Order: sequence, then structure tokens, then C-alpha cells
Amino acid sequence: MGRKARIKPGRILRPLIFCGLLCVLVILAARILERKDGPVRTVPFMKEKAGIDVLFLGTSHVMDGIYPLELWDEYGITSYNLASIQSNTAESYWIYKEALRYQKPKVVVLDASRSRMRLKTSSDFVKAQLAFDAYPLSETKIAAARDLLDDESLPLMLESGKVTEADADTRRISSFLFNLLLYHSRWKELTLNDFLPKYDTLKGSLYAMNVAVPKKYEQIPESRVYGTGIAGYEYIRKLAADCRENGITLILTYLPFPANEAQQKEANTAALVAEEEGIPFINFLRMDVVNYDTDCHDRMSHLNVSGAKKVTSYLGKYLADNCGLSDHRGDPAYGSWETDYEAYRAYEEEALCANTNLHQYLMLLSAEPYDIRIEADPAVLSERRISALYDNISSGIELSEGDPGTVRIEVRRPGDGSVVDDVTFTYSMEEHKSIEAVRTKGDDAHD
Amino acid sequence: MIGMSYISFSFLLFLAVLMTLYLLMPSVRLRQIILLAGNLVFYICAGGRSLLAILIATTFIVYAASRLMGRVYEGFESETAAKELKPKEKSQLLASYRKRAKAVLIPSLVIVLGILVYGKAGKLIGFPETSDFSSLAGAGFRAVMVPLGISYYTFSAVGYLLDIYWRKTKAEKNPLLLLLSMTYFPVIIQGPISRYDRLMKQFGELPGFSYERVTFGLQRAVFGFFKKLVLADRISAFPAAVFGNIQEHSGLLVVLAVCANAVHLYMDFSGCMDIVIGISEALGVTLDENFSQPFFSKSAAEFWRRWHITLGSWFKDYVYMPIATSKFMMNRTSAIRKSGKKRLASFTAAAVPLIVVWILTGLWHGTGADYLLWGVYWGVLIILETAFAPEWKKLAAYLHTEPDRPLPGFLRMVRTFVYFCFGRMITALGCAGSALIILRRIFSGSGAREFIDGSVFTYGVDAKDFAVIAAGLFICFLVSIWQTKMHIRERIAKMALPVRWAVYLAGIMAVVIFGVYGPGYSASSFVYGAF
Repeated sequence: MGRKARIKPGRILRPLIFCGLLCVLVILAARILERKDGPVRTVPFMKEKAGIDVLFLGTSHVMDGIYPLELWDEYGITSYNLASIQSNTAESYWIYKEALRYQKPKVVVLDASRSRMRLKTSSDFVKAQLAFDAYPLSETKIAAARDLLDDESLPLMLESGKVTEADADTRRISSFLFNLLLYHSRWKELTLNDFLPKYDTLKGSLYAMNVAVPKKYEQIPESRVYGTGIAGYEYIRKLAADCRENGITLILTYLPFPANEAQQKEANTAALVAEEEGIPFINFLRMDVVNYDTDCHDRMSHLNVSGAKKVTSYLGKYLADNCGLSDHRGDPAYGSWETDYEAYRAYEEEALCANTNLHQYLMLLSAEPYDIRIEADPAVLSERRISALYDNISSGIELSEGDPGTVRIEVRRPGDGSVVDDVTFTYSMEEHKSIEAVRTKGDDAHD
Repeated sequence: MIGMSYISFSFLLFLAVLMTLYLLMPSVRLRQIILLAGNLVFYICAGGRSLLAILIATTFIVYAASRLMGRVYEGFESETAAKELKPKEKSQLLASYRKRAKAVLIPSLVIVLGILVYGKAGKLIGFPETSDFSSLAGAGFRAVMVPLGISYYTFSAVGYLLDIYWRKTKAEKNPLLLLLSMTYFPVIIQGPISRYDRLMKQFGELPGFSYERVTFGLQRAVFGFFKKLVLADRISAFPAAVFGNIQEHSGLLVVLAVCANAVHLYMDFSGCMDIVIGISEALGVTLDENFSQPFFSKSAAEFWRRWHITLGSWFKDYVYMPIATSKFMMNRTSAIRKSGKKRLASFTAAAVPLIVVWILTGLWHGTGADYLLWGVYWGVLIILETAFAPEWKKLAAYLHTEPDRPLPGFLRMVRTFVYFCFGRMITALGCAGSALIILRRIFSGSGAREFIDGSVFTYGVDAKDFAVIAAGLFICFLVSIWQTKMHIRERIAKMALPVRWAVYLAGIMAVVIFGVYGPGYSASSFVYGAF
């Protein structure tokens, strides 16, 4: 009598273990069910051990337009492309804040595309969600959620129909932070890649292989700019202040593409902001670094491989000359970058050897140090687009006349002379496209 | 306004905080205070903030009336205790006291029911809804105020007052217990319609933490979430798509939509009941059951004893029985019986109260003509079933069949399901001619094309959804069968730990993964939430 019943330790431990197991299962489910588009690019950045000197931020123009591994090869600069699709400047600012939790970059390069946007994120909010999916719950992520979702412009955009009700419904702090709330219904579309994700090996860049001739616009005067009070430009200033505080050099760019009037005005305004903030601004719209006839991937004017390599090379020189960055090539601490670059080269060769489109093939050869022999029907070679792409190739070409309607291209490595590819394209002058590509086996290649 | 519902993320957070605080409280009084605070927070967050005053005022009226009637009967009891009275004298004395109690009861009922009737009738004649008194007055009372859960707490309050008047229960002296009952968050939105005397007794003895009770309660709530989020909200898209464009569809597709509509309602409503009864169980308060495998019913009357049980039982106790035992009905049926028409007398005795009950049941569900028709449909069906029961028996005997044997029993269950589906057809399109329109579409073609070319999967429920629904319904069917034979949760609790944890985790993860919730999908509110 009078003895108090003791609580068995199992009565306390078991519920705790059960809750722990449940948490593990929920986290696992969240990882499997989440869309992989964002994490496959972000997770390698978070795990990058050698250290990143330069961080690239911006929109899909940056994703398509800057190749960190080319930068490594040419200048020994380590960098990562953390740009994301339709990333407005506010979103880029918060990606930068998240990135600082994993890396200490010396230089941040922000592209000012979409800085004229009044919304803090894309009108398709899932795109912003994708950029943050990989980052675990943290004070920074909560602050990002609170800031990005507290958008004064949203009611106006909803009213004007620029943001749909369905999109507004996805703008919730809860699902931004716990994305299982958003992605749980993806059980219907799971593939093997959801269980064993194939992580990006190109340091965040996209290898865009199409060749398109986009619409071109008249250039407007530099004096035409947007007024004040646009959220995007305020976030450039915020980023500049933050970079100053952290001793990081901020460079503002506007990557090249045939920009319309609004986009040119956007770049002009960015130039003013950069001047006021004392930030270097590289406006590619007013330079001739790329050729829009050969260097665009789509009609939306994103850069293809050829364009990206030109822009990367230009930026690399600027960074090497102006930012005091070390050349890490040959440094054993950066051995993984050598390995990654070799893998990138292998990827490029695979892409070249699998290609069956003459336009794309010529574009892919543009900046590669190969020995190239071409046997071509002169009529095909003189076709306007083929001719532009032919002229775009920087390596020396051994040219001879080939069979009518065909272009045979033999690609060899410059060092050992081994054959990379030997392919014959049959080209239709009427349809302006290659209708067949036949590859010659090793033995049948040119002597 | 948060707009908290039982299936919202905010509700889960609210529940976690409330349960933790509540279960940590060392005394009954502290648990009562925490629970009352929780009730009020929930009511405000669920959208009842501006009309909380009406709920509190109703509670005050019910408390005052119950206490006044209680005092009247206390007077009667002390007088009978003081005097030695013969039964007849006692009965006469009680009648005089009852008159005094009635003088309290009638005005209180008029006020409490008046708010409900004004709201329902006002909506019927098209008055707009408002949530503040100034705009109500400004509109010259040509607007209505409908507090959240009014149908549920009004019925419970009326039942409580009548029980005191009939001396079935005693008036509670502690106003806190009545306020707890009238605002109790698990039942305020969708019931079950509670008997306040039973609730108040439990609130007076709120128990502390019990591992078994909390886990059992939460397990039941998880099963409720499964029914609501995995099944009901997934199924609902199909009838909505077909009925939304009914003129374009025919035959089998419409039949499937009608069946889906019926199953959706069951999963939605019974799922919600499992959630609220489970949560209440975890808090230590046992609520009345509202469902008892209704689709296993072999007749319409049995169906309504197993479907929305608390509503049926309320109507039986407070409408059917008072009418059936009223002097008027007794005199009428007795006169008919005396004229030699015994069968007509028993028919009248059952039919008159039944038709009143069913008209009121229809109006309770909705104020449109379709709901009135729906009520009459069920009333007539049950009356006919009762009236022709002897003929059915004779027919069974003639055919040498036992109605309760497996095959006839199963066919009777199917028949009851058809009754139910037809009832749903009456209100499915929101107009009086709803059932006729649907019937016409069913018989206007085979509708087989959609099943052959696969377009049946394009009405908001694709093939994978159908697979989940089929698996989920099979699980619910098994659970329903097992429920008739055992206490499932106790049985699972006796299994080896890895097995039972696997069952629990599978249940929770099924809701997490297959539940229809979150952004991109506007989870429909519970069907029974707007009464």
C-alpha cells in the first residue's frame, strides 16, 4: 500500500523510438517523392569539398551560358553555377544566403536578367521551390520562406491574371519548408531516378545542344531605364551590401541574347544600380562576344554550347585579370576538379558521337581542339546556316569535296591522332536539315 | 482567419500542443480549463470568431433554463419527500410542477431553436449570410447569422432541455461543464450529436494520461484520416466531373458516378467521425458512435439505425416518441383500432410520426426542395417497408427462403445500397428534378465506350487513383467485417511489436503518401460540415 506505481522505461522509450522511426520514414518518403530537378544540381554543390572561388547566380540564361568546368580548364578557377530557372533577383539573393552556409566564395557573379520583375519569385512558384528543395530546414531557409512569400506584388499579379489561383495556392511557407506537402502526390510518377538520383556532373551548368536563330531586336539607348521601387533592383543592392560585409567581390552581368526592349531597359537599369553601388557590370548585350546566328539554343534565346564557351572564356579572363583568383590547376587539393573535368570531356565526346544533326554537330565542334577533316558537297557547305556554323569552328579544318548532298566529318584527337568520330551526314537542301547520319567503324576511318 | 479544419496542417499543430498541455495537467480542474481554452481557440480558428457570442449566449440560456427547471423539480422532490402522497396525488402534483417547468422550457426552446430556424429559413428565402450584428440590424434582419456547428449544438441543447423537462436527467450546476460540452471541439463542426448529460459527466471526471487510451484514440484518428484523405477526397473528383456535365454522359459511367457519390459520402462522413471520436478518446472522453457498418444493413430502417446513428436516435427520442405517445395520436389510433381496423391503426401510429421525422431530417440536411424530397423519399420507403413487412414474410415463406441466409441477406444488402444511392441521386445535382435527370441519363445509353477506350480514367480519377481506391475500399471492407467479430485495435495491440508497429507505420505512411492534401489541391471540406 502507498507505493507509487513505477513507470516502466519502455513506456517512455517505445513511443520515442516509434516517433523516431516515423520521422525517418517521413524524411525518406520526402526524399524519394521530391522532384529531383533542383536537388541533382544543388546537392553536388553542397558536397563540394575542394572549395568554390566563384559563385554564379541568375536565371536559365546563366544555367545555359556559363560552364564552370571550362573555366577550370582555361584558368584554374573553381566555380559553381547555382542559377535556376526564372530566378528573380530576390530568389537569387536567398540562394546566395543558403550557399554561404556551405561555401566561402571570393566572387559572386549575379546576372541581372529578370531584375525588373516586381514579384520576388517566378509567377510559377514551383520553379522557386525547386531551387530550395535540397537545402535542409534552417534559420536561413525559414527567413527565405518568410521573405519570398511575403510578396506585396502578389495581389496585383493575381488580379491581372499574371499569377494563377493554382500558383497562389502553392505559395505556402509550410510546403516551402516541408516539401512533402507539395510533392507527396508524385507517387504516381516515380522512376528509378527518384530512388537513385543521377547527380549533375557539370557543376550546375546545362549543356544545351540545339541551334536556333532567334528573333533579333533593335538596340535602344542606354538612357532608357526603369523607375525606382522595383523589388529586383532592391535585392541587387541588398546583395551588394551583404557581399561587402562578407568581403566578397560582387560582379553584375547581363549575359548575351537577342534582348527585347524591356530586357534592354532592364540591363540599362542594372547598369545604373551597379554604378551607384560601385559594382562592376559586364553588359554582354552591348558586346560582340557571341554570334546569335550560331550560338543560341532556342527561340527564347538561351545560349548553346558554342555561345556558353565564348561567354565563359570572356568571363574567365575578366575574373583572372581583375579578381586576384588563384590558378588551382596542378594543386593536389583540387584533384577532384581534374577528375571532374576529364568526366566532362568524356561527356562532351559522347554527346558529339551520339549526335545525328549536322547543325548541332558543327556547333559542338566550334570550340573543341580537335583535328577535323571534312569532305563535303560544296552546295551543302555554302548553305547559309551551315556556312555560319562552319565559320564558327575555331580549329583548323582540312576540307575536301565530297559526294553530292553529303558531309563527312572525321574528328581526331590532336595529341595521339586517335579517331573520336567519323560520321557522314546526308543533308536535304529542301528541308534544310540532315536526314541521315551514318557512322564509320574504326577500321573504315580515314587513314 | 486561419480556417482550421480537421484535415488541416494547422489542426494537427493545434492538436499536438493541446494534447501535450492537457495530458500534462495534474488535476481535473486544470484539464477542464485547458480543454475549454482549446475549444475556444479551435472555434475561433475554424471561422466561428465573430459568431462565438451567439454560441456563448445560447449556452447561457440553456444553463439558465436548465437550472430554473432543475429548481422547479427540486421543489417537487422536497414537497413529495415532506408529504406522504398517493401515486395519483403525486402525479397531480408533478403535473402542476411540470406546468411551471414548461413555462421555462418553451421560451428557452423558442430562442434556441429560433436561431437555428431563422438561419435555415432565411437561407431558404435567399437572405445573405453575415457575421456581425451591426450588418444584421442594418439589413433590417433580412440577413442571417449562422454560427459554426449550429445544427449540432442546437440539437444537443434541445435534447438536454427536454431531458430535464422530462426528468430523465438532472440539471448540471457547474456552468463550466455545460460550456465545455457546448463548445467541445471534436463535435462542434460535424457531430456526433452529443447527449450533454453524458458528456458533462465525463468532463466532470476528465482522466489523466493513459498510454492505451491515447494510442488507441490516435490509431482510430489515423484510420479516419485514411478514409477521408486517401479515399473520400480521391473518389470525390469522379462524381463531380460526371455530374458537372451530366448531359454528356450516360449508362454505366453515370451508374459508377452514382455509386462513387454514395461511397464518397460514407468515407467522408465516417472518416471524420473516426477522427473526432479517436481524438476524443485520446482526451479521455467517449463519444457516441455514429456508424455501425451501414452498408451491411438489410433494410432501409436498419440502415438508418446504423448510419448517422446519433441523428436518428435524436429524432427518435425527441420527435418520433413524443408524437407517437402524444394524446392526440393515442386517441386517433385507439379510435381506428376500435373500428376494427387494427392494421390501419398500427400503420397510422408508425407512419405519422415517421413522416414528420423524415421531413425534419430532410430540412436538417438542407433547406432546398431536393432535401425535402429526399426526406419524404426515406420516410415513405421506411413506412412502406414497415407496412408491408407481413407480406414480405409471407412471400419469403412461399418461396421457401430464409431472408437472413447468406445469399438473400446479401441481396437485401445490395437492395439497401441501391436505396441509398437513389437517395443520393435526389440531391446530387442540387435541384428538385435531380434524380429524374440522372435516371434519364442512365437509361439513355450504355456508356460502355468510356470503359473500352479508357476515357473513364479522365474524369479526375486516373487508373492509378482507381487502384488506390480499390485497395483502400478492400481494406475498409475487411476492417468492417473484423469489427463485427472483434476489437481490432486490441487485437493488433496484442501482436508482436514489429508486426504492430509495421501496421501503424504503414497506416500513417499510407495517409502521408496517398492522402489528397496540400497545395495544388484544394481539399474539399467534409461534406457534413455545413449544417
